[in-house]
Amino acid sequence: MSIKSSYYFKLPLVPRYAILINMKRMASKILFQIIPLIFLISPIASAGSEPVETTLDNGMILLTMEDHSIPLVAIRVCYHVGIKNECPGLTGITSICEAAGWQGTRLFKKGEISRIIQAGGGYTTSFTDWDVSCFYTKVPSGMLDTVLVLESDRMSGIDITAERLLLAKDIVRKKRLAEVESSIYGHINEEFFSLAYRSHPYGHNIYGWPDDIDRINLDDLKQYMRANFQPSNAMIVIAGDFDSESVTARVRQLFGGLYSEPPERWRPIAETKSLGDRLSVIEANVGIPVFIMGYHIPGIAHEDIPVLRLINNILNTGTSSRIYRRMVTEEKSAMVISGGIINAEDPGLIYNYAILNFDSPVEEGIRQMEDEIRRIKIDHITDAELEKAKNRALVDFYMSERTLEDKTVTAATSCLLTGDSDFREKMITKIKSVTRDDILHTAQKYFSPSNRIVVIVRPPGDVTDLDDDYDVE
Amino acid sequence: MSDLPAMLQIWMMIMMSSNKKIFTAIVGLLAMIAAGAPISESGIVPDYQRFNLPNGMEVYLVEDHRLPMIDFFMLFGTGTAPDSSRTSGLCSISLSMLQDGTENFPDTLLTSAIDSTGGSVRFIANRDGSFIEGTFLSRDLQFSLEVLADMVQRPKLTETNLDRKKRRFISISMQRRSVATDRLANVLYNRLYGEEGYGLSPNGTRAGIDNIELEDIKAFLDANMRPNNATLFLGGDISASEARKLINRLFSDWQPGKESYKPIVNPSLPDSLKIIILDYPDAPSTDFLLGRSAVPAGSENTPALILFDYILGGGGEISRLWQKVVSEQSLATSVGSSVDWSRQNGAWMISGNASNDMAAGAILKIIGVIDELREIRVPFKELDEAKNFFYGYSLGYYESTYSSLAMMATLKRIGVDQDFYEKLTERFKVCDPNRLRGIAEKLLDKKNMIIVVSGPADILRPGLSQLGKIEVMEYGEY
Repeated sequence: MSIKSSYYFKLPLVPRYAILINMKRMASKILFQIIPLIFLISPIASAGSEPVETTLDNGMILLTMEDHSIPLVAIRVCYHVGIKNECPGLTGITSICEAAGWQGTRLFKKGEISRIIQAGGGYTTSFTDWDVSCFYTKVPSGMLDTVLVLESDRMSGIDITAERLLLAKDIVRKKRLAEVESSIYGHINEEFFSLAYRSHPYGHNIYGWPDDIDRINLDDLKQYMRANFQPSNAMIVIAGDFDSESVTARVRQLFGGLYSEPPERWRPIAETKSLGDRLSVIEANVGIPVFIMGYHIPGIAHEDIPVLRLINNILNTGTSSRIYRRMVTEEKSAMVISGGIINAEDPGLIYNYAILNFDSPVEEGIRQMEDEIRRIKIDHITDAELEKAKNRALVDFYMSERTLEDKTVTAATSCLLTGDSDFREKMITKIKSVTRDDILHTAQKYFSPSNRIVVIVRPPGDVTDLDDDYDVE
Repeated sequence: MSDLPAMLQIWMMIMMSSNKKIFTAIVGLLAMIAAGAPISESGIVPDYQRFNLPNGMEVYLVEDHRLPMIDFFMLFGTGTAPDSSRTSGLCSISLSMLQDGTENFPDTLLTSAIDSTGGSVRFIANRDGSFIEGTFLSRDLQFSLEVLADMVQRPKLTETNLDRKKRRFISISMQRRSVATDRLANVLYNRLYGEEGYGLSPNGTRAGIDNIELEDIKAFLDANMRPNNATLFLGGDISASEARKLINRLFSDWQPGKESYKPIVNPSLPDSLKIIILDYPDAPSTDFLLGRSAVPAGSENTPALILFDYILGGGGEISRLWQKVVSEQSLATSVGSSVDWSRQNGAWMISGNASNDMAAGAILKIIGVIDELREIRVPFKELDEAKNFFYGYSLGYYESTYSSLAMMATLKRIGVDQDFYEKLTERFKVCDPNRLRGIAEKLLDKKNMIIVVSGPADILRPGLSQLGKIEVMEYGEY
């Protein structure tokens, strides 16, 4: 699962070098040289054209983005279904559907799709996350039509048989074994989410629980697939070297006639409020202790998300960020600090994690991280920090537009998860207007102990001495 | 964009056909036609300007105005391979200390200055070379190059920062020990290359890191961070002429050094199959790595080996290994192969994961697939599909400024000409099934291979003993 940022904004380039004010002479000289540049406000650039959205009669959405800078095309076929749609007892079923998509369709035998794509100079893959299941392909532009034919066939009906169900389940079990059960970091991930979400389906892994995978039968799969892997629940995003008009016509021809029905979505309940923080301590074969600390936040479309993105930048992005500087540079307690925001449709998480130095006690590391989080709730950040966070967000925005793949992710995330075609513009406006007060109040709102999840992983024999704030489960 | 009307004509044939086999065959044909049509053999590498400063620094400039960003890679021709086992980790630690302050940006002012722009600088040490790479908004071009010039010419090295780095690198080496695949790679490289050169872990060992003194760092940087050992790749929203002036101003006074030490890698080939089990009784599953040394990236055999590796295991789920080991017999959760392309003989590896009770069977099957490739020539169709894949896939290497510069720097690091992917057709022309079989016979003799497995020895030993003598080590030894 990956965390992607997906928003546009236009920042006036206000003094982003303010942080350098106290620098020594040479630094000041450089500062003096570059200050005039900050007034050169340029419009937000974008590589290629803006997305063109078309909705077919059967409900399928097509987004096209022409970019003729290189003869490649990226095609992302997204189904608006993921972990959040999985009822208890059916966990892992979305991944099974995704795996079934490779076991043969009505027209192509197992393995033929990959072979055709790769023989044409492309590659193809698929993934499932919290909210979306997706088949992704990148090919030389002359292959676009072939890919559309293959995907149209796949969307028109994966030919599910008992044998193909077994194959798909076997794939999911193997992935679970390799990526979760055999990997300590996979374990930590699973523990963290299951602790964070007690009632919401985000709490289980994309590969589900083993017993559920065993129990899912052919009827379950057919019903789930019919409801979710069909045109009215699908969006195709195409970016690259093609002509939008002719490709849109071709997509209408290939997909417009596919049978569709309104998607039946099971809407999950909200995550239960905690009375205290949630803590798990795991003893595992790690060389050195690791811990992750998260807080519940709203879904991607919530008005606080732009502020939380900046808070995330202030806390852990870059080697001058607050937690990095405190734990890596000053206290020397950690070797790695990182974190992020789970951009989910339903309420997500903001998290920081630390891989500690070999001789640093876990409790010290946790206290230092808590201390930095507490600090951002008590005092205003500086103007320079705010600008630094906004500048970083600007770089991240451009980085999310670098490749055709990036563009399809950005566009699909915005449209599928928010259902708001103005989402990007709203995000731009909000980030431009975030103030130090916003940072303070938003930090106070979300960084409370009752909203916190902590997972600690320590090597065998390591004694974790947590204070009375924690009730070890 | 290819000729759509012609494609549609073929589609009319398809739509009129009710025969599924014909349909599939036509789609395949269509894919091949389409694949051949748009891929130009020339022009995939972006236009670049190349020049040398009088002090020997080589510079490549790429203008790309699609986004208001710039990227740079400063490549030094010295990597971790020259490290000695006494001070293993020296290159990595020396490189990372460049971010701890300069004469003009002392201590944390350096990272504050970089972060304040929203940009970032990263340090990567590889066996053959070291990189400083950066990403900035193009408005900060001058600032980013000033910082880079300052870092490489005027680093401020302190005992305090060295102590912090040593703790960090010791922690990294301890942490990586919990990752089975890292352990396997360490053992394999150590057995292939010994206690020097490519055989050393790039991040060092605890003992090696403990031995590093500030004087070692100074000596390393003084010898290797020199313009005649450096290549700057800069690209993005720049004016090449302005960038050239700026580079001249910032880097011309940088004094060249003596010729840097380049290690000679002499991998020893085992004369019989070596099997090593890292005993991990509680392992939920077994990871495995089979390997041997391959050829230098600049070898005349490289194009054939690229194709051969793709067919064997590098082609993902359509590769021979995946098909035979995972898809058909479900012996492993994953399997694939890759070549660690290097300036000298890098490693060719087959890696995978299997449930403990299936792992030995999976490895036996892999050996079977290798033997088959040594005995039976690859069909022309399979070979042509592999060639087509690379014709198309290599376009993606030059998709963005960042990926273009990364590929250019990589080719430079491993000693390959920048036109390598431009001339794929020419290079692949000589690669017929006989040539590939020759590669298999030469490089895939199992008696020259080393197999390293991480899992429960009690379960793995009986199956693997069919292949030869087994050495069992404790999981914690590496």
